[in-house]
Order: sequence, then C-alpha cells, then structure tokens
Amino acid sequence: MNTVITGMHYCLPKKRLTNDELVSRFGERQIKSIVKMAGVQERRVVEAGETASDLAYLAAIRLLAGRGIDPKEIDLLIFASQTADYQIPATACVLHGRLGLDANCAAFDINLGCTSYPYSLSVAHSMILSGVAHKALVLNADALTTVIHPLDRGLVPLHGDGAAATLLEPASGSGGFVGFLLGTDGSGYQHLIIPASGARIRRTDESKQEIRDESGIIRTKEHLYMNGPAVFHFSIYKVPEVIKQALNRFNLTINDLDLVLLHQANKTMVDQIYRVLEVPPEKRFYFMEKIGNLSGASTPTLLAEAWRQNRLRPGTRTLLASFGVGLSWGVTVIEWPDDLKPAFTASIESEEAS
Amino acid sequence: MKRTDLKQIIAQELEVELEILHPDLELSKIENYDSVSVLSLMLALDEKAGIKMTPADTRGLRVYGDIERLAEKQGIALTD
Repeated sequence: MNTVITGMHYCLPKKRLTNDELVSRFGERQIKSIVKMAGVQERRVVEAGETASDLAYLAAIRLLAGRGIDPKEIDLLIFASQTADYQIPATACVLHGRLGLDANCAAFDINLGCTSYPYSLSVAHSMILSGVAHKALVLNADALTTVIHPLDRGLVPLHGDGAAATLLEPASGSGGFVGFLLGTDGSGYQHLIIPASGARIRRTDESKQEIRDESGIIRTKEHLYMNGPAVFHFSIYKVPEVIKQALNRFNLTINDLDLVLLHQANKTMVDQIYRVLEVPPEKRFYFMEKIGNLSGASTPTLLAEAWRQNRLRPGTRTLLASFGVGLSWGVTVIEWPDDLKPAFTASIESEEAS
Repeated sequence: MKRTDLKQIIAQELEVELEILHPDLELSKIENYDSVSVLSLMLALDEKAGIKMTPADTRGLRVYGDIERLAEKQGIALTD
C-alpha cells in the first residue's frame, strides 16, 4: 500500500516588497550584492494582523472546494510552521474550527521550518498506512517576515511569506512515495534561532534592545538570527551528500528522476547543489525570484507551482529535498500515478482573511 | 597554484583590481566585502582553487594574506 498526493494549492499575501523599496532601506550596494547571490527580485509579505494560518486557511478551503471534497471527509490535519498563531493552542486546532472539520479529525502542529514538508508528508503518509487516517490535509505555512527585524539587511531581502495545502490519500493504483530520508544535526541548532522565543530565554526589556552585529545587521533577541556562513556551508556540503544517500537508499540515480526540486533558499545555493549532483538543466525548476524564500512553505509551493506549470506527468518521478533550521534535512521521491489529475489552478492570491 | 590565479579568483568575486590584493590589505576596506560576498568567496575558492573555507575560517579572515595562509595550510602551494 502507498499514499498519493491528490491535490495541492498555495496562497501568497497580496503585499509586495520590491528591491527598489529595499534599496531605499538598506542602500544600493547591499541589495545588489544579495540579489546577485539570492536571485530574489520581489517578495510577498503579510500585512499587520495577517498570519501564516490565514494563508493556509485560504489555500485549504480553495483546494477542498476545487477538488469537491467535503471538509468532513478530512480525518487528519497537520499544520507545519514556525510562525504559529499562538504558543498554546496548536494552530491546527484553530484551523480545524475555521475549516469546519469533523470531530473525528486529528489535528496537530509540527514545529519545523524549511524542512517541514518532507517531515509532515512522512507523518501523514505513515498515519494513513497504519490505518489511523484516510484523508489527510497537510498545511505548510510560514510568515517569517513577522519575526525578522525590518533592519536585518541579511534576512529581509531573502524571505517572503506563504502557505501551501496538500491532500494525501491512499493510492488506488500506481504512484506514491518511493521513500523518505529525514535527518538532523542538532549541534547546529543555534545557527538559525529566535533566542528569546520560549522558556529558555524569557522576553524582557533587555530582549527588546536592538543589537548591531559586526557586519552591520540589526536585530533584537526576539527576532530571527541566522549564522549565514554556517547555514551556507551546511547547505552546499551536507545537502548534496544526503540527497546521494537518499538516492542510494531508494536504489535510484539522478537519471531515474524527471524533476529535482530543492528548497528555494537562495539561487546560488540551489545552483551549487544542482551542480554537485550533476542535475541536467531540464530537471531543474526554480520558483523564488518573485516570492523569496518561504521557509516551510517553500518546497510545497515549488511542487504546486511545478504542477501548475505542467512539469508533473503521470508515471514520472520527482525528488524533493528540504534543508535548514535545526539543522535538519528531509528528502523524498514521489512517483506520480497514471491517473494524476490536472493541476488545481485557482487564484493563489490572498484576500482579506475571514 | 599561481598566486596570481588565486588573486584573480578573489578579484573577480569582490569586483576589485587584482593589483590591490597585497598581504596586508584589510578585507573590510574593500567596498564589496560583506557578509554576502564572503559566502560567494567560500563557493568560488572551493570550486576554482580547491580551498575549503569553514564558517570559523570566514570569521578569522582579516587581511588578504589570511586567504593565502588558508590555502597553504590546506597544502596548496602558491608560486610566484
């Protein structure tokens, strides 16, 4: 038995943050330098009061309506995010209520960032295979711009906000997941962190003080910190290694794949991983130039967009690799069923959240 | 590896004239040297010169000569 993705949709906030606006905030030289490296021209960012779960709600409600699925049929809801609505309760419970799901539907959060997609897929897949669930709705959403200091010239140009919804059901014929490889290097947890964001370091007047580091980046302890060199080093050396490890475990090579999708962290990084793995240009796909790095929503949005652009075909294989905060990584290979449905092409634009 | 070849790689990445790269040149004085360009340098040095730069190495870079010393430490002899 296997499970298959039977539908996907994503949603982006309406507000755009362009490089022109960033030039006036950070200066031309800084933006030129980061645009050259990251390849991001524009990002979508939430408005005040708009949350990652609002975007996830819209993606989910449109997907369910578009696929003709009664919300009561969903018996597993996973919300994977690092920008939840509340510390307590799980945002999945809030969404369960908003979406009008059945009382017999399990709902919980997964707290992971960039790697959340393969992790949440593997959890939903396993719960369906074990008979606990039958129709899963996986929501991957992040609004990282709400936790990045507006004067952090290293992070602001890279990130946007967004959400993706995925429907997972038992496979009725061909297709499904070839396997998952998930991993963690917890010795690097401090390289991507909001220091004052939980029980370890409490929020105080001191944690609200702005700090300017040696490279001129401004933040407080209540904002996201990234050790750029450490994360970059991890991504360009560790990620190709784990993808090779996954392919070896699945008895596949790059030749057996039709599409290789990588977390859209930044274009230089993604290109380097493609180069090391010798992925030919026709198997590459990018979706970051106009939206930025969406953290946990990045890989599913990339997959949904590939579907919308007709890059997923029946019987073909797609590799997904996500990596980042933790530090962690996740790789999966999906075989698309012979009866793969056409892409769901409703609007991806947000509207006022209800 | 020729010293000028290494300088060429760095000059290209940091968009400076090769001639200004002398051992005592403070990297922070280079207009294009910042937290982003150091990542490009990490990539270029590995790809084009086989020099592996760890995150700790990037923190230790103060002057251009530190890059040559990093190369030599990794057994890459620089010839004039």
